[in-house]
Amino acid sequence: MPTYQDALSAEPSEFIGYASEMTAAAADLATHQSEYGEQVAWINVHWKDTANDAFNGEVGNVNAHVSQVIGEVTAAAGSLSATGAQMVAQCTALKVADAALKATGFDVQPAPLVTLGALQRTAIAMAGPFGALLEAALQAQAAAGTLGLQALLSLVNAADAAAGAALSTAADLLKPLEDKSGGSGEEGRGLHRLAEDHTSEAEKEGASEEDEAAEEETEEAEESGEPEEEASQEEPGGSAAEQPAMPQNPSGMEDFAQPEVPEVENPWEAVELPDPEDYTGGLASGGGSGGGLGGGVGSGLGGGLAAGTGTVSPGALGTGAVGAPVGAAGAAATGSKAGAGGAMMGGGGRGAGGGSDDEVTRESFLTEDPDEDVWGIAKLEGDDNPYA
Amino acid sequence: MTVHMDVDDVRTGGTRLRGLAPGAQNASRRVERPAQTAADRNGGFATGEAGRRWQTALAAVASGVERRLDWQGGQVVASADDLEAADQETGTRFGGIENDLPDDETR
Repeated sequence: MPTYQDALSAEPSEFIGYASEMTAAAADLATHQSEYGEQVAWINVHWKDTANDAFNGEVGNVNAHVSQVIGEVTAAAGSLSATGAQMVAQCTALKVADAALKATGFDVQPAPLVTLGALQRTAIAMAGPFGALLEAALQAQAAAGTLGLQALLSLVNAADAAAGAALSTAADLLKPLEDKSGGSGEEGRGLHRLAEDHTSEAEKEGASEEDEAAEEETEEAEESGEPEEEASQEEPGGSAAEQPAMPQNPSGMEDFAQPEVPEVENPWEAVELPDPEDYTGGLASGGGSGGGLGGGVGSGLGGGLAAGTGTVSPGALGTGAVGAPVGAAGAAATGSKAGAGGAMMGGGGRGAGGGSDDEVTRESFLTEDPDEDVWGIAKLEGDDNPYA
Repeated sequence: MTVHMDVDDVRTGGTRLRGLAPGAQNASRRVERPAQTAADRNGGFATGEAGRRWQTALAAVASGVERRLDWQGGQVVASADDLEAADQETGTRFGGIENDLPDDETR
């Protein structure tokens, strides 16, 4: 929005000049379109085939676009010319009014605001008893001048806003043609490929039917895949269900059950196995700490039962404490054979834990060296060999 | 359908079309300076900035027309090249067939 000073210094006739150049630009476009048409006609004289038909279709698109642009340019030029002329008249009136007020001795502030000038104040002072009357008359003229200048400025602003909005709308209407893809080496193949596309409509329909059939198969596969995905999503639960069944709470231990204990970690997570050489002790203590690992698999044995009991119950501390004596009792009852079996089976059970297992971090005692007694059986061939 | 091409003429026409393409910019170039002048000499007027935007939009349109005409000219030239190549290939093929036929059987 121009200020009063902007309006005074403006040269809105430039907008009219711009509009006339717009009109000339529309003429340029029309001339170019005409030359284009002549060239296309010359080409068509020497060329007749399917590719030429496609070419002429393209030419039609360009001609339609250029014609539309010419119309939009012409309309914008007409609009700007009209509003430009309006602004010229309004700015000229504003300048004339400003000059007239200054010529009569008034000062014009940029607001715009007309005030009494120095000569007028001198005249008032010299008027003696009529000074008040003279001042009142001059102040009335100044107020009227202010109102007139403000009115003219508002007209200039309104015309500028209208012209600006019209031009912005016209600019938004100008949409360039989309570029055709392909480099210069391949671009020329487009029309010819179209010309050489001898595929019959029936074949195309057949191909499209095949495509549809393929799509349907894909959709069916996706649909059938969904349950699989669901099943796979449910797998953790399912695998959990496949985990060795363990009693939720040992008989008589219901009071120790604590349904939700945040500190309880995933019982299937990898944890460090007990020392394989410490069979009996590890068996008994494993029931409390790493019980879930050897849990269900070893449940058939005394030690395994103790470990499983310790794991299943969410109240790890309580059941661990319970598991230890049970494991100890089991170990005592079944002897060292049962203890060794429980520990070994415990290792297997941990492996069945699946995704959370980590062969790197669990410090496996299994090695690849065939000479080494990876199972620790040789060490048991002494007095404690359970297989002896 | 009728298939006809004066290959050299069509190729020339395509080349001329490509040469004609830059002429689309004449329109936007014409209004470039007036748009700038109108904006500069009418500071504070929204019309000045809008006029500059309009000129930019027209330049984009002109560039689009130029690129499209250049593309079309390339298409025409390539079509002429392709047809000529296909004709030569067909001629070569027939020549080969003719050479393969024994003289006795052709008499």
